[in-house]
This record gives sequence, structure tokens and C-alpha cells, in this order.
Amino acid sequence: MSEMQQLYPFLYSGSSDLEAVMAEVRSSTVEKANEIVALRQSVLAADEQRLVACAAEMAEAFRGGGRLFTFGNGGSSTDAQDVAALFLNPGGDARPLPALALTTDVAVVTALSNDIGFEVVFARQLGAFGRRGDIALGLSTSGNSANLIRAFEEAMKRGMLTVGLAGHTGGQMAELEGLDHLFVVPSSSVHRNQEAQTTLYHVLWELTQYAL
Amino acid sequence: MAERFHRGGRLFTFGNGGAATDAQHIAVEFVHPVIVGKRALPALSLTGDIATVTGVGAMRGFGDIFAHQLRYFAGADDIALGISPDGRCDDVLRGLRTARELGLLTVALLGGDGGEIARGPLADHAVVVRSDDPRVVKEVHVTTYHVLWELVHVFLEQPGVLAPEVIA
Repeated sequence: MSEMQQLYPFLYSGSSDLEAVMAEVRSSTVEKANEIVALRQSVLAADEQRLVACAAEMAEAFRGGGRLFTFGNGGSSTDAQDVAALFLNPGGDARPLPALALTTDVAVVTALSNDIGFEVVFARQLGAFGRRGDIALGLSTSGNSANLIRAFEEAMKRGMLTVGLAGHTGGQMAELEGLDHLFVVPSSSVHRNQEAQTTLYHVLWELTQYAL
Repeated sequence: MAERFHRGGRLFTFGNGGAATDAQHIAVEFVHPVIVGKRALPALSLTGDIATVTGVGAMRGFGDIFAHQLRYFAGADDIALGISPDGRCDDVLRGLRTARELGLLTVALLGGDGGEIARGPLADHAVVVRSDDPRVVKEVHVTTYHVLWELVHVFLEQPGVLAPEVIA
């Protein structure tokens, strides 16, 4: 049975009665909303102190002139851009901080992918930009993206503060020796993972602002 | 939305700042589904082409960046989805207004009190997240569009419920 069939068994029974379909999708939507609330609570219970510690180190890095570099693939690339935009241009009374997403310059991304390989798209940019005292923040739902692993290895070599957001079991990111901070959302759903990661980086930003 | 896709329509997404990243996230959900075996559906974020965004912005004003692209790229069968965390983004509002004039299905993800966009007859469907914290609004929006994506596929796979009179 596919994941969609498991989620909506009724729809595969051959009937097309609208009311029943609507009842089914209504209850599955409520279930998902409850699931993400519970997931956020479990992340908070597990990672509260570690989030505070991570934000304190990020604030320290910014205080020392460090800059934030963010990266991820697909949906996580949009989160990387959201993180960079939030730090650089938060609006209101919040303090703007230097941040750049490594996913947005399509000339750089296609050049590196075409000439060397997609696995170096973030690592090579960190090689060019990254300095000791900067921050590397990568997001992945699987934790297994080769280009993130390479980027974290490069960042660690350069003495940057490394922060990873992963999902499920944390995958290869959980096995990386020397990663400073890793937050793993314990869900096998890519969607719920991204939703909880959004809250995680909002909280990291807020705590960093507070620490500054 | 499923009915529009069923007829060959395309989805156009747009928003500013953090919401621009949501627009891109929505487009990639539809074009490259996370669940193996789901159909790829045509979706494009109007925030992705920086030559167009800065070009239209410089020539015609920032308020026209989404409306201009819809005017020359979209058709009556398509869907416009605008995101505005306070419901007051001028360019999103103008994008939805143009889309509506062209006959597109218009969907708005909003926050706060829904602002001008919720008040004007601009969106066929408006989801308003009643919070003044743009971060909280975004978090609920992410779940909303993940569910929307999934439900579009549910209805696409049920041709029996796609007839216009049933949807209405």
C-alpha cells in the first residue's frame, strides 16, 4: 500500500461519495494538525537546553564578527533562504545580522554542479567565503544529503561553528564527528519534519537576538 | 485546485521575504513530490527569476512584480496562490487582483486580521492565521500548504468528485 493509500484508505475503496471523502480528508487534516503540535512539544522537551546553548554560541560568533551561511536542498533550500532572510532583515526592532544562503546564486550553483559535481555546491562556497568564527547552518530532512555532509566537513576544517537540522534518525549528519550542534526532529514524515524545523530555526533566531 | 490541474491548469505562487521562500517551497512540492509515484504538477514561483523580479521592479515599480508576470504568463485555467503574513502586501494584493481579472482561481494564505487582501473580493479561498507574530503565521502556513498539496492529489485521484457542480 502506498503512503497515500495508508493515509486515505477510503479513497481507494472505489466509492466516490463526496460526503464520505470530505469526512475522511477532514479527519486526516485534524490528525496532521495534532501530530505537528505533539512533535513540536517533543522537540522542545528534548532540545530546550541545547537550543539555548546553540543560540548563545551563535550570538558569540556574531559578536566576534562572524557571518551565517545557510544551505539545504529542495524544500530545505527555501528554509535556508528563510533563515538567512530572517537574520539579515528581521524587521521591527530586531537587530539585522550578516547572513547568506548558499542556494540562491544560480550561476554559482550550476557552474559548480556542471564543472565538478552537485556534492560540492555548498562546500566550495564555504571554501571561498568561510572563515574561523563564521557559522554554517545546514537543513536536511533525511540527514543524508552528500552536499551537506561535504559542506559541514569543510566548515569544521575552517573552524566555523556548525549547526545541523535533520529529521527522522539524523542519518549521516548524526554520524558526523565534530558537528557542534545537531537538532533531530523525530518523525519519518518529510512534511512534519520541515514544519518542526521551521519552528526550530525561528526559536534559534529569537534566542540569538535575545542573547545579543 | 485539483479541478484546475485536471484541466491542464498551472499553479503560480508568490510572496515577499520569508513568504517568497514559502512560494518556492510550494512550487517544488508540486513539481517534485516527496511521495514516490505522485504526479508532477506544473507550478512556478514568481519570486525565482531575479532578472524578472528586479527588471519589472525597476521599470514598473515593485508593486507590479507579480501582476506583470501573471498578465503575460498566466491563463484563465490557472491558479494564483499569494502569501502575505499580514494580508497587506501591495504586490501580492495586485497579483491576486490581476489573477482574478484574468479568470484564475485565487488562493491566499494570510495572517493577522487578513488585512486588505481578506477584505477585498480578491481570493476565492483565503486561509487567515489569526496571529500577529509573522513567525507563528509562517509555521501554520507551512502545514497548510503541505496539507493542500496532499489534498490536491487526493481529489485528482477521485475524478468522480471533480465535477464542477460537486466542487461548488
